[in-house]
Amino acid sequence: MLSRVAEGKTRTGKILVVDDEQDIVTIIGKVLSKSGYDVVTACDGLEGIAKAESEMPDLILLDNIMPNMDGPTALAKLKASEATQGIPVIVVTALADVESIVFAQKGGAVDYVVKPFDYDTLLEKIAQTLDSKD
Amino acid sequence: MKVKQKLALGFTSVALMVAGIGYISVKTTRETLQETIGQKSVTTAAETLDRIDRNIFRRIEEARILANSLSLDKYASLSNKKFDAMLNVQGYIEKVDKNWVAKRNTPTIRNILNNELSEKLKENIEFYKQRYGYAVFSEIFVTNKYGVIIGSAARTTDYLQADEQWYQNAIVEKDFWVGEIEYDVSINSFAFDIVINLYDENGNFAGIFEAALNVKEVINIIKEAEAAAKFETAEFKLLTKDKSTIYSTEDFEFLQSVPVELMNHLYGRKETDHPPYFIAAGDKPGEGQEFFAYVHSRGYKDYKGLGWMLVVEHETEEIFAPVAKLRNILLPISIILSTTAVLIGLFISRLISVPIAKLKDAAVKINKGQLTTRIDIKSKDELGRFAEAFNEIVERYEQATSSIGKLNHEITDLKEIEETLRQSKEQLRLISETLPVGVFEVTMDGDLSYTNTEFQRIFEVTFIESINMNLRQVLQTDSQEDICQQWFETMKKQKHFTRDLHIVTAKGKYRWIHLDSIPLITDTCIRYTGTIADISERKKDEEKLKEAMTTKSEFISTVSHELRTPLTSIKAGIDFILNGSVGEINYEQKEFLDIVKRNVDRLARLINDVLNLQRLESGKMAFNTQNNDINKIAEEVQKTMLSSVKNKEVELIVELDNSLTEIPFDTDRIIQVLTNLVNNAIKFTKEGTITIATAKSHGMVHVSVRDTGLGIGEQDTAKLFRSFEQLAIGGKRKTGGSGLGLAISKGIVEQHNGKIWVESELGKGSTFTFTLPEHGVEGFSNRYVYDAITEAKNNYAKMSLIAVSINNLEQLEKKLPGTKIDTILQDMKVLMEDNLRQKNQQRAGDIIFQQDKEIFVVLTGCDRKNASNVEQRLKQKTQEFLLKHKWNNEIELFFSCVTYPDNATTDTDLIEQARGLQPMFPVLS
Repeated sequence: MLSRVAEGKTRTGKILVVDDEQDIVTIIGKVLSKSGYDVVTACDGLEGIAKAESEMPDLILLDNIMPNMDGPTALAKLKASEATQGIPVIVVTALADVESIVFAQKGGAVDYVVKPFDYDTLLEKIAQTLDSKD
Repeated sequence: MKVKQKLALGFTSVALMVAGIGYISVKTTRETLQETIGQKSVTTAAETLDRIDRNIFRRIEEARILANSLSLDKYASLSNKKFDAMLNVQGYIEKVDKNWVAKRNTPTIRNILNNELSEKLKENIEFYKQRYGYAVFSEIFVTNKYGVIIGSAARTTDYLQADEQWYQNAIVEKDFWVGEIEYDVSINSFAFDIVINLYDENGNFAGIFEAALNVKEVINIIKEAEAAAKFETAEFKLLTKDKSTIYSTEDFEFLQSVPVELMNHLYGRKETDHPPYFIAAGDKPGEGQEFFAYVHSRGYKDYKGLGWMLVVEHETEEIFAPVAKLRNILLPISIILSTTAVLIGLFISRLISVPIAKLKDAAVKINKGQLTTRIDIKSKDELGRFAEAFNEIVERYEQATSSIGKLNHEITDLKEIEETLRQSKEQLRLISETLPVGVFEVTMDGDLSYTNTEFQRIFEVTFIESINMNLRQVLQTDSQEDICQQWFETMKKQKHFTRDLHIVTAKGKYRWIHLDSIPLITDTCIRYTGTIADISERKKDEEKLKEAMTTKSEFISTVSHELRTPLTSIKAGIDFILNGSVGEINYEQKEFLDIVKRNVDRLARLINDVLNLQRLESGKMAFNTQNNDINKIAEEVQKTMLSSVKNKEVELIVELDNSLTEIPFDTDRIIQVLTNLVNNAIKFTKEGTITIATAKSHGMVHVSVRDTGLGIGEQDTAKLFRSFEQLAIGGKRKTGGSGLGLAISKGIVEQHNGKIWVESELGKGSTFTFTLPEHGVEGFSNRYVYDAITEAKNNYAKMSLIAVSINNLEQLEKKLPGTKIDTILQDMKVLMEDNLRQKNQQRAGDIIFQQDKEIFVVLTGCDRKNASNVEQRLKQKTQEFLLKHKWNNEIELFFSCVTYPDNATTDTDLIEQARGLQPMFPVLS
């Protein structure tokens, strides 16, 4: 996985990772930076919005279940705010039911990734999203 | 009219009569007085007038005597002879008369006036003058038959008298004649003539002798009478029949007319009118009433009187003065008396009428129905006694009426009750018909006497069929005989019979029913009534649930095991790499691998927890119970956890009760629990103290973890012990637990027959406490109690537990050896058993057992009320027992009684409570 990434094009961009699990943030962070991305992190919805506004990342990876402000609420707020509207959001979560997926899509997320996920898949999705953004 | 008025009238009448008497007496007195005075006056007047008449008569007599003594008849006869011899008598008479009238003094005239006769007459007049001091006779003369003066004391006016009216009148009379009063110049007074007829020897009229009597004489008489009169105001009047006044006491003019007012009275009356007195207005102007009495002259002997009237006049005031006096006395007296009489009358009438009014009022009230009325008359008289008797009568009447009233009420009530009953019965029938539950009634022999529609549906019988059936026929169930036996026995004991039964209907259908029956005991018979509920669905659901639960457990077990398998490989692999067994790893690699290991471990733990919890909940977890020292465990945990608090400003201390002895528990599991609690405490406490404390209380060991952390709100404490519930701690990320910690702890503690709970205050901190029984899991949850509860649970019945303990056990243990105490308790136990058995109160299943210096009485199928009764009896009996053995002062027994499911639902709880322990969550001081 990593090797493929290392082989391929080096992507650039800033990605905001919002998740309350420290380990996940660490891992994803490492993977992404290995792939050439800049990584910023937040541990809950509130911090996520704050960081989104201050850092203006190119993409946001948003966990669903967090303390203080959960995913869907944060998503709504992000899409409502002019500053952060345009930032694509990929929802990353353990919930795999149809309802949650639809909810995320309706909320304005561009994509949806279920934990545990394949890192290749995640990186591809990120690349796709950034490409289409360009 | 009212009594009062009658009485008033009576008295007023009396008063009036008194007044009347007064008036009448005054009047009568007046009249009597009037009469008396009248009579007296009349008498006086009569006397006076009589005197006058007599006096006049005397004068007449005197005149007559004089006439005789002077032999006037001779003189007259002599003169007559002379005149008879005259040629011209008339002419002679005329001539002389002419001269006489002219007052000439012819010789003839002189001769006459001075002759012997005249001299004699003069003498007489003088004589009388001398004698009486006044001219009694004013004039005396004699005439012959020709009526001419033949002798006279003084010169008369005329010579010839014959032409005078009086002369004419006189000669008619035989004897004498009295003339009316006339004014006589010669005496300057009034006089009246007395004329005596003279007769010659032949008895022929010869002439007259006239003497004019001075009225003064009369007047004198009157005056005398006046003087003698009693009354000062007496006035006399002498009146002629021509209504002229001869004399009057008051000023008068001689021969003035009688006052008009008197005239009618005096002259209008007949002489014989009674009474000869009257009251009229006075004859003087301005005078008041005057009283007049009068008499008519009656004359005397030959003298017939002149028709005079003597009037005696009195001022009524004077004569009626006594009357006035009387009236003046009587009037005020009568007024006073009358008034007094009226007042007395009013008073007495009140005395009588008030009580009478009370009587009347009372009677009216009682008539209207106010039976509480009583008459309040206190006087001792007949009215008072009447009131007494009356009150008694009313009393009795009242009682009688109220009795009747009560009876009526009862009758009405009865009727109402009957109607209500009828309605109730109807209602019940309707209800029972519409209930979605089967209702039946059965006799002691088991014959059905009533079934409702639902019952019929459940058993698939018709109404007619059902009421002709017996229980044994209708009830077709597994262990039919047993059930029926039990039921009948229960019925004999008149207890509840409740069962869940699997039956087959008359048509062969299988059903599950819940049977609930109770005795109906009346004076006449004992019946059983009950309900049948079709619980087939419920049973199905129960089955499904059981299945589901089983499936779930199996599933979880299977899956967990399946999950574990790959995990093993993963964990092994990672560990292997990490420890460098397959080559050196660089820092970055280590970083990643650490993360991996950490999460693998976490996963493994999670799976374990789930499995554990599952096993705990299904009761399949095995405990390795041994006696251990809880304090030691607490210290161990403290040591272990100290490292976790190193980074924080938190102190981890222990507060241990050194009097604790060893108790049985699964060491590892309890460590797990305590560790879990301390972990939580650490997680939630930023700074302060976490205290692990142990204590003993009422047969339970309390282990608590107290922190000074964030505290937990009320709504959250409920969620705490549930699976997977975790609390967010304001902003921080989830603290890597599985969320099952407390749930597992709870499971473990409860499997030890302990309790776990939390007390917390937001911002102040929390205290988690769990208890472990002192006496071990197995021994404590006593088989007897457990079985009794299970039975009760299955039968939907109740059971009760009575615990008898010695209050002052510690004291007693100092005095007596433990074995001795046991013996005493044994004896008491036997006593209680005897007692229960004797009174046929012992149910199948009632047991009395002794354990740990305590006696427990298990009462199967017994509710609170009945258990209470048993308790009371046992109390009594044991007291008697102690008394008999003189232990009553030394041994203090403590009784308590609890009921399943009222007081507790598990055997341990029940026992705990029965031993007088505080139920549920005691507060550690």
